[in-house]
Amino acid sequence: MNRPALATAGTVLGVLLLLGGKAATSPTPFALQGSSSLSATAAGTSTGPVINTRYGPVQVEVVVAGGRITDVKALQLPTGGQSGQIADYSQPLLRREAIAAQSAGIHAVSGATYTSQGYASSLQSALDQLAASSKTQASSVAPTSAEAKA
Amino acid sequence: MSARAGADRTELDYVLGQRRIVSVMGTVFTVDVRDLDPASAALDDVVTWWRWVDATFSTYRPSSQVSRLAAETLELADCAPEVRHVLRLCREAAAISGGHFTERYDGRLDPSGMVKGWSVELASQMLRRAGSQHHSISAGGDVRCVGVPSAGELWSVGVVDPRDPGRLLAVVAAPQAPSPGLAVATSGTAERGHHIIDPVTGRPPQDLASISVVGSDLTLVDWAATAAFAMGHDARAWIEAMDGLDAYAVTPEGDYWYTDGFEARAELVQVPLPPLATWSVPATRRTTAGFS
Repeated sequence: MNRPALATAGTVLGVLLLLGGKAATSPTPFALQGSSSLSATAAGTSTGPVINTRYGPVQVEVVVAGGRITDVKALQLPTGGQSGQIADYSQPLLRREAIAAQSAGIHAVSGATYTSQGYASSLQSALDQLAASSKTQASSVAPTSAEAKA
Repeated sequence: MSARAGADRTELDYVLGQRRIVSVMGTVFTVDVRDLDPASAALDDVVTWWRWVDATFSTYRPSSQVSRLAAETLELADCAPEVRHVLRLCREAAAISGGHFTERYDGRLDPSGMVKGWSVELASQMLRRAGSQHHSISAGGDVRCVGVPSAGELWSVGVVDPRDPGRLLAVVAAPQAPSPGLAVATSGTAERGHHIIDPVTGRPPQDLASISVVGSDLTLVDWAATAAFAMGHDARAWIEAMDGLDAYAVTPEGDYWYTDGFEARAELVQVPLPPLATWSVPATRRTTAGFS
């Protein structure tokens, strides 16, 4: 058994997470397009509703700074799997994608698909909420740490 | 919010750096395109294509052609040619896999196991026609890469540990360009629970937690992963016999095996528990050479 190999895996993940976190403070992380439109000054953290999927409840939190998504976190994901072998469900794919997008070595990941529909729905709602509040009363949304650093 | 919360068709479509990220077919598709603007019309066309495929092939939408075909309110002759094409592909896959892949389990029409990989393979062709030689498409964990991410770099795809999705077990590298590129698909129980039934036994396959298949055509690689997962350990010999395919499989206990050609295409980044001698694996294939 080769311990350095295990350490490598840990480091890879650690680096990925660090880079993923770093993305939150980079100048041009996400640009929105499509159904949600955030004003350029939209900022804050918004929590989507709990979406009940066939696989369990899903809820996400989105962090926006300067009109751009800087982070997406899963607050609730389905737990389960066979006889407790699978402690919880994967990092949601969007987050995984975001992490992969920031990493130097890994461009994509392959794993069994999870249901993202609830995730997407909760995220969309969180964005809609933020878009609405940024138009009417932007100041009521708490500034994010990313924004504070900017 | 509650009205939205109940909506099943919320569609996300946004740009993240070089990536176009869309929610479609019940999962998330990402196009990482290195030589086109991710907000360009070529990418819009790809998104439109996927939305059309979803609307046409969905088994969850009663109005889809596939749903109406299954309900016998629509004739096959009146379906889009793509529907007939996909069903033909399904029948070929069923024949090649000895029935471990099927689009018609228990009499119910469901070509979903073919649709995703095929629609991504065609999306990659659309991008190539639009002038892109360098892109990677990730569709709910199935990946198709063409060209290179940048000069001197190769696309690399991490294979996720089904028992700990925060961990990677291997990193598969795309071959040097010019080449047909890389396709990777994983089938397993990890994220949706037991959603696959082996059509041959009529039961959920028990041998494997996941199997990742590597090749260059995502249409083939995707359905082959589905069939291979149903086959369990028998998939090893089957994949070995398939031209251009390799596979890496993990059992629910964390044991693993891979086909002869897998090591040449990938780096094992994490060494799982030593394999148990529950099936025939040549001892040399169990070593962790490359990390010694």
